Amino acid sequence: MKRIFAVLMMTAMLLGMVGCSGGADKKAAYPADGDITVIIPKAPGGGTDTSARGLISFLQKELKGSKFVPVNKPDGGGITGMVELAKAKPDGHTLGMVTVELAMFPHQGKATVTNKDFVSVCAPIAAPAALIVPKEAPYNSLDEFVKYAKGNAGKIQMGNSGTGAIWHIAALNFEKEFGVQFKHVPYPKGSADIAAALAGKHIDATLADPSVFKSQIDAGTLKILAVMADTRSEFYPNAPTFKELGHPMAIRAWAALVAPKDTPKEKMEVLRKAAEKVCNSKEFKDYFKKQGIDPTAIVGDACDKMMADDDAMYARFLKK
Amino acid sequence: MADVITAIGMVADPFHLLCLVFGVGVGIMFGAMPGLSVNMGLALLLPLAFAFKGMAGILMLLGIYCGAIYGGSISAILLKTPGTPASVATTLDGYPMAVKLRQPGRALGLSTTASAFGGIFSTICLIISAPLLAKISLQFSKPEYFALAVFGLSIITSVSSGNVIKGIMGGILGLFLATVGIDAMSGAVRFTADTTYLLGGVSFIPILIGVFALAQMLQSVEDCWQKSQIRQHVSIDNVLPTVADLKRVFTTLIRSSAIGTFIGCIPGTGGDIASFVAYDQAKRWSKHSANFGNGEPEGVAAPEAGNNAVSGGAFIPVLTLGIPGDGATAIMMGALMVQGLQPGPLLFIDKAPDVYAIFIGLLLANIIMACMGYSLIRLFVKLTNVPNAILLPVILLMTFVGTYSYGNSMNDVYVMVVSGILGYVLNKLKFSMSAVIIGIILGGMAEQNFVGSLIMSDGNPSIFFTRPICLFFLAAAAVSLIAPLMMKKKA
Amino acid sequence: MSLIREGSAFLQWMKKSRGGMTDAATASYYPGSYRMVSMRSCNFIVTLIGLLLGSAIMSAAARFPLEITEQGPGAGFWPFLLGAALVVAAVSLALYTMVHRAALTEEKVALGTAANWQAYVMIGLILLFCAMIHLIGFYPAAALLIPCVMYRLECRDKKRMLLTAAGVVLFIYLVFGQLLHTSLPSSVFLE
Repeated sequence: MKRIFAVLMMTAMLLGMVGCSGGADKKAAYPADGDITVIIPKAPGGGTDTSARGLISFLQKELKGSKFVPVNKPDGGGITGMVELAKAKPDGHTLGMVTVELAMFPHQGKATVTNKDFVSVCAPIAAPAALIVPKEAPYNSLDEFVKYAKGNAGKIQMGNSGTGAIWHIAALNFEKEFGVQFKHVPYPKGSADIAAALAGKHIDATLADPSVFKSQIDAGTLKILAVMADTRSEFYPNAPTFKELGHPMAIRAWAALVAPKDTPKEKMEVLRKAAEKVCNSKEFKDYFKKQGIDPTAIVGDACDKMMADDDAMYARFLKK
Repeated sequence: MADVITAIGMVADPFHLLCLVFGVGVGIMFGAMPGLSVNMGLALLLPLAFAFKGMAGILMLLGIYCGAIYGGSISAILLKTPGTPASVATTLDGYPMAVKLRQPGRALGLSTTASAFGGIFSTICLIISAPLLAKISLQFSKPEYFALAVFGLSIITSVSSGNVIKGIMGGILGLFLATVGIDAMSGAVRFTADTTYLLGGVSFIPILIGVFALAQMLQSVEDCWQKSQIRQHVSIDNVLPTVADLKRVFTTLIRSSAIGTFIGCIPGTGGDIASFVAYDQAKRWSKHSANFGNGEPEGVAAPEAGNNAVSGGAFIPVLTLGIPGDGATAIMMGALMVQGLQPGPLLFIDKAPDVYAIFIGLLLANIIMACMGYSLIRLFVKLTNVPNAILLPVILLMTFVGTYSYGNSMNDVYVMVVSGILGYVLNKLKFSMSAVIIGIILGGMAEQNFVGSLIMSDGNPSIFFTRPICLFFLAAAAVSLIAPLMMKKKA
Repeated sequence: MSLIREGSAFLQWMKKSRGGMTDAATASYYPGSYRMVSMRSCNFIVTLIGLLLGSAIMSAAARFPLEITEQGPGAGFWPFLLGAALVVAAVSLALYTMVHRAALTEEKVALGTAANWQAYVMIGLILLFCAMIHLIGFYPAAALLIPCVMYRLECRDKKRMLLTAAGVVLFIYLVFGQLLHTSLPSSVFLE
């Protein structure tokens, strides 16, 4: 009896879940005329993945009748997914996420796709690099930090998320701009490990996305000295931007929802208009802010420009 | 005290309990199916969790998390196919108990009991000593991680039931496979033969599915022909473990749960390492160590207690420091933050009832998981009575579907097929596939922390010998390796 | 010469048995059914492969920087170590095999027996399945594969084959296709 009950319950659960996922109506106007696949070139559950899924759930609510289907393609370091997106049929039913790696990899010889293969919808996140140090560190501002670094060349251990990855490039940029030298310590598993290392005082500083460090900064074990962005962060209003301090550096880890470059303009307009509304809506902002992420509303042409600007910057910096 | 009562009130809501049950059920299903990972399950149900206001969503995610770690043991025991990497060690004694000793019910019962025990033990540790354990976990820097990885690798000698040298060769092969791709420490691109696919490294899950599921399926095809279905009808009388079994595994349960809790609280390590270390330690300290690999109850209880104990342990850095231990806890941390709970040092002060609700939720999740497990054992055992002519083609298709669901790539499927064929042949040559898998799992951790330690020490290798925790694990690894040889000499 | 004799005997057997393996007499036509390889020779082959693989790894690793500098070891250091360890392990395996010569010659590895060929034919089917996924798509190929595998496993009940194929394909469609939105590959010709 228990057995039959258990089987019935499982079948009911399965059927219930199947019923919940409705289909799309083929005769309706775009985007309701079929499923829209969104290729996410990262593993499920990571930062890019959760942000992407959040964005498309909001877009789906805004565009009545549409159905966005996220598909994770993490192999090849994410490059396979981006290549597949570039080659996909430009009918508006295949979109994808690309990250700042799109601007970096071509200049490191790791990929051949560039931002020119895509046309963007919007970028919901663009995390700036922030200089974060332990509370007891003997420097309390960017200038003090630079002075200390100049006097201790090669001694400050600067954590990053991998050699050749974005935060390492940010640190190299910093070295060039200020004329200092760090010891770069890679933490390939990601920013959470850097947070643990800083909290345990195994390294001296990091330039990384501040959202992972938020709990520690709020509790006071870490302090944030400056942010590489154009405007101050809402979460850390006391941290000046590099721009304010006279060094207009802006290195961001962005993720953007894009389509293959030949997608028809009308369909892109539909998506961009919806994205404009979504990115400026309160629920969207709350969703990200509650997770400690500063959401951005870079839509359409502004997003294309950001991708192109970053591509040019990394071309200059990496082709040395 | 008032906070605890509020917390009980929060959890006792019928809708919340339903969410918990639903989460555990979904978790068990995701865990049992190779190729579907706990991260995938969490990511899929995250929108649902956000839609439910309050603790309901979080309870559901807790259920998925605990259920998935347990679910992997079901396919590990019945089909010699670990549903998750954390259940690889369960195949070593679980499958022989199910097939050679014809006691699948006993194996599943032990595994369910051990999983629930591990989960509850680690939750109690979380409640009592989270700040202390968190302090210890902060002491771990790169040398300590390296030493832990070496300690994990020393397990290869106990897992290779055949020839130890062949086990080591398998382990070295696994370690090498872990180096393929972009080296995160130097930025160099290694051994990719100029393909984009290998740029991200060798896909681990397809290889896992191949060398276990597919190779076992091919072996079953062969056995089928030879024995022509002498599958006697397996009957189960007891779903719960017998008192004799419980007495036998009790110390193992305690030891394995402690190991799992400790490893869980170290960020970056997970159920896979915990289950292997627990299995290895159980074998070394057991009176019945010769029976390991032939269906020894301690060999089933140890890895299962170890991997479920990680669930409570992994919440220690999350709740006390705001640092997620692995991908699954990172997702749950995001869910906590959206509900307004900021994990970290301030959480216990500001939002005590919610924290207690999480504790109670974890305890309940493990209990529900045990209940579901026990009630479904009879059903699962019926699976073993399905004729091979139906079971094997289904398993074959599931390996394909599971591998494809993992990364949506046919390349992964090809890797799976090739690994399966190689696994089948290597099993015949008495190589241990677990050794290869351990190598792949620990290869990255070992190399990256070795290189990282030397970066931090400016190339000075003495860093490994001047740090107490690091020295401890290296010594433990050395003892692990040399002790069996000493024992042999005595005998 | 004996290879050709064996080969033709194999073809004869294939024609005779037409996929089933229930006749013990026909099983003896199987090439290699009387030749089981000894573990000793297998070990030497493994040693050889280990030596080759190990040296290949070492030379591939040597293309990267190997020294330990202030920036830590070069990218080639660890793989080089692994390659060297593999060579050492292979050599120890050879020594071990030589020391335990008698026991290992006794021990037989079943690689060419009739039972093994069952598995090899299954491997062939699996590879064919992979090709079919490309040509006709996953669901049709799966629907074809199930009856073939069941037939190889001595099932002759057509109703059972049909039911299993239909049931499994439906299950995969519902759970993976609809619920999890995994779009399994479709035919290359439909793209």
